[in-house]
Amino acid sequence: MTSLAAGVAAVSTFDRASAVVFGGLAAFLLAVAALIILRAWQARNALPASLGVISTGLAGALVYETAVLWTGSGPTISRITALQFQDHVWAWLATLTAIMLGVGALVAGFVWRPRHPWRQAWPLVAATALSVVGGGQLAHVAGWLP
Amino acid sequence: MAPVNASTPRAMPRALDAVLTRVDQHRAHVARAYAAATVLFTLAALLLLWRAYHLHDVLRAALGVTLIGVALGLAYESHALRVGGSSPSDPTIAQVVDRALRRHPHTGLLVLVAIMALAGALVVHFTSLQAYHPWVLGVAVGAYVAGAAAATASAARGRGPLVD
Repeated sequence: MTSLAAGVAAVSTFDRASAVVFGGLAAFLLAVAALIILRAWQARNALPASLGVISTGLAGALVYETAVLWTGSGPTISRITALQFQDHVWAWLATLTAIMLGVGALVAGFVWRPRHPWRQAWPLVAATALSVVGGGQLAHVAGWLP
Repeated sequence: MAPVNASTPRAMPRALDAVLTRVDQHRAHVARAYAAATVLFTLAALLLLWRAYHLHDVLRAALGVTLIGVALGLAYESHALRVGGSSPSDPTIAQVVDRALRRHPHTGLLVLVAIMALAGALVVHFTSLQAYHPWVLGVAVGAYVAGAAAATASAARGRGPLVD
């Protein structure tokens, strides 16, 4: 019982520490978003404004994660997505495939050159594809799990 | 000495006009697609925000705000393509990114690699409640490379994004 209580306390401490990290990230992202939106407003430019609004939305998700980890009430984002993956594997995979197809097309489109389309795009696509695998393996090896 | 074709000087501008007309039509077509996506994303965002308000759900609200941001970016792109992408004050998103990558290629590469590594980590993190599924990561990478291949092939045939 003592070891169980110690384990629960350790998990709680870990969650609180994670909450502090997520809270710090949320505050940073909100500050960046406010700065971007202010500059976009001054320059009357919709493109940085959209980046600022997207950052605000991501900060909102981090605020949610912080609150859940700090209070221990409600599921974390990773738990929600992992349960969705368990219950609706094909729908989840279809969504992931559509997103990654779009991201791949965007990255290739950004570096496309009329004279050397394949030579210009593929080093970047290969490097980023490898980094996807590397990031995933790192998350697995480091035990960064829900 | 090769015979001079008298129709060549007139044929050249006509061919150029045909190419420019095709480019304009392509731009108008893509601009309409972006405008339609803007409407779709805005409707989805409003629906999410409405449900978030009624359920007092911060996560739904955050997703709704993010979608509003994406819709704003799509609206900008649609406008930039409609005005031709040639105005210095309204470059397309692809032109903005292309310029940044040309000026700072190493920083651009580092940022992209970091973002994609985070994406890979999140794919594993979001699917590993009971067990690790490496094939999900394989699907993600496969789709990413397929998207890049399709976009590059389309661009090489002259129907893709017009960066330059």
